[in-house]
Amino acid sequence: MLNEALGQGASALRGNPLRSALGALAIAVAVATIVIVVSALDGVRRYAEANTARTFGSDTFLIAQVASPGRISRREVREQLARNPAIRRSELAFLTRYADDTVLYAPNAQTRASVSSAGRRLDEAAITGTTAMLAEIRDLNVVRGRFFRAAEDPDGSQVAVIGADVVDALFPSQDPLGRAIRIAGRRFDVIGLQGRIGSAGSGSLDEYVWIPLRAYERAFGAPRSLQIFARAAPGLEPVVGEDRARVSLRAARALPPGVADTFDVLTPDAARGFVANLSGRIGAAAGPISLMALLAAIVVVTNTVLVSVTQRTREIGVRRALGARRSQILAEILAESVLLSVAGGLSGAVAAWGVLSVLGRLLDVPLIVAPQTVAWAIAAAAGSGLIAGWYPGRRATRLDVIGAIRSE
Amino acid sequence: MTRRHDLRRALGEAGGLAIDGLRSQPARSALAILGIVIGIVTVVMVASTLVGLRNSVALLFRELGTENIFAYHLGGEPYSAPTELDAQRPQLKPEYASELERLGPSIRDVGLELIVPAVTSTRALTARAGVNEADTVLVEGVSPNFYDVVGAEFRGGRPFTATEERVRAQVAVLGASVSRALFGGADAVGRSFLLGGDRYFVVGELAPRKGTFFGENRNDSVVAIPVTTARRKFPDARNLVLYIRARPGAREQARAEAGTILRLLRNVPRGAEDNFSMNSADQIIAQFDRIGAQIFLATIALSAVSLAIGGLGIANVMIISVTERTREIGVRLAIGARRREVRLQFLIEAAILSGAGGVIGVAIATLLGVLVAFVAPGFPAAPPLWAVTAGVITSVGVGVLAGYWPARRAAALDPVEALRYE
Repeated sequence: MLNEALGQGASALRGNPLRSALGALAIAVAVATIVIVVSALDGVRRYAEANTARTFGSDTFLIAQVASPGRISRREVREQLARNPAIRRSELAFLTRYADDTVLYAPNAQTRASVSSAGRRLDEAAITGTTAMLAEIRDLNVVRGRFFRAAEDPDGSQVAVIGADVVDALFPSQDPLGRAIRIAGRRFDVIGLQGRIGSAGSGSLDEYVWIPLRAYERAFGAPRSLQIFARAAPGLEPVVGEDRARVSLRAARALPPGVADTFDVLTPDAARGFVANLSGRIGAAAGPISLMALLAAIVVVTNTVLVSVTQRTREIGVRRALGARRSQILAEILAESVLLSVAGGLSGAVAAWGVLSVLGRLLDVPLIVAPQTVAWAIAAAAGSGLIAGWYPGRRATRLDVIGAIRSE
Repeated sequence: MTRRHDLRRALGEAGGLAIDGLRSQPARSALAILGIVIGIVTVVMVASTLVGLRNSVALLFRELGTENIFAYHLGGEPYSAPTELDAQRPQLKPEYASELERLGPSIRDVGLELIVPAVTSTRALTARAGVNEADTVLVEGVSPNFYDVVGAEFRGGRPFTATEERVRAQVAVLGASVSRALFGGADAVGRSFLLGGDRYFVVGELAPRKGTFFGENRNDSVVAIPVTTARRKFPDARNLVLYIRARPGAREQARAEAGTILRLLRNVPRGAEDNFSMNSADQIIAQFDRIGAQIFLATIALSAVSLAIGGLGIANVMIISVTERTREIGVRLAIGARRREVRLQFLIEAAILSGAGGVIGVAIATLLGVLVAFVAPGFPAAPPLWAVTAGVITSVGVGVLAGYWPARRAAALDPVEALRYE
């Protein structure tokens, strides 16, 4: 019976190709709009996630005095500042000593300062003090030269690894390796160069200058509180590393059981949650607007099917007189409506895919249409078809048979 | 018979035929209208929300005084954290105010606003009165003439006095939201609260500002204390904003004078760039508009999709209508109707459908706007008159556009073929 209904529906659609095409076009436009909006939001989220991974490393977590993604209330900040003592170098040493090959730690202290070399100057470079371990924790993309050696921090060596923007600004025509740069009046030797990484939302990731923490402290003074980047040793679950770090720092601070942590641990998940929240807000505005388009399309399909029913009044009357059941007629009309909508939905999804791939190429961002988005869009189109077919279907099944046969 | 009379007759006839055509198919016409209604409601609601938002932001800046020039030492805007380059610029000094007033003939007076960073790496300021705590206060030090310069309205109490400024009194003027948060809407004047461990007495309370951004205005959250008190209690506050009020109509002169005087006071060498920034409300609004325009366009385009789909619905109905009436058209053409008249008849039919949709849509959008304003005050959604007019005109335009092709098809019919059509 379903087959028959589908066959009848399809032939009704074919009987009036122009009208059917316009009805399907309405659904196609609405579905394409929805798919584009959803995929664009998805693209924003993916882009932000990729950036988090680039700035942060995807398994990296951060231990800090106060670190919270997004907005937390000022009272919470004040309470955390009052409760959480600054993180000191001695605590980092303790953590490193009891890491037991399960966690890798690297300190991080950053300031914005200018860096110069032979008359050229770059303002606002991100000068970051750290240790050799950072290269094990995150991919720093050192393409030439090397990152620090373990001994260069305790030795207080004045060496630096510089990002691509720094290279462009200071050494436009020379090989920077082995040359000297000046930071806060001190001389540093360039030992490594980073490849171009790109930007993360707010700023370029290529204007970094990495120097050993001890040299950083000499140039800028000891930071009030250290941040510590950490990750579980290769082969271990990320959770194991987080637990170990937490337990160790609690031990270092002699926190009795039941007392809350006096430090914050920020995981990439938490950082991502903030971005997801943001794109959710954009979606809250764009979603209803694109759903209105689908609503308008449903009305157009309803009208198309209604016309088709009206024109076949006589035919329906005759068939009913010959014993066709109401459910059969209803199934046919619903089939017509759903087929029309699904066809529209499919072409809309294809059109959206085309638009997005062209846009993605133009803007140089990967805009991917996820298969589940397409599946949902088609399902929404089919659902719209059911809703659109309901009113014409009801009209057809409630026809007065005699009157219908007599109608012109 | 004049040509105009001729046209009117043709229009009347075509209109009559169009209405007859629509009447014969009420369900179909109603659905076509509904499609346009959905589109227009979406577009009008979105457009009026966006414009309302924009206007309320513009008001937010106008409330800082349209005749005022704001001067600050940073390159960016004064409320965000300074970059390192900016931080190297020397700060503005409170003494500049009297110099500007003395030396600038177009300058009427100068108010001071010292912005105290509420959250730093070592503190997070909150205000407390009894069990109530205001968690989002912004702290500023202002001069006694500040409220006169910006034209702020007091709900109760008074601005600071010169004596309070001189003796660095621990007194405060509260923004409307802070006052509500601390004293629950009761009269705050004469009562006291704690800020950063010190007790302050409330001498004045401001009326709520009218301009908002999503229902919020930062000035409603400000706890203002005398600028001298702020400098002593919060020595890390560095961003001093000068509110330079021009004599009526002389804003641009005042800006030029202020620029020259400030360069002189700050020893900026000839030819060097200013080491301070100057802005006015109009300038900030223009900047906001530049950024907002793209978002505005994208959102309108998105909402216009539903109107376009409504137009598709009209086109479809018209095509069906033309096909059904092929014979009728043939007869009319055969007995001497002009093609132009046939085309006009169908165009009018389309325009009536979409125009009706437009009128109903605008009515619904207005109703919804009133409802939203009732449920969420401060969220601007009531369509202004221009949106109403534009909505109706756009919908008729969409209808005519959608009806054009079917109408042309009708007019181009071969009468003989059409008469033969079954």
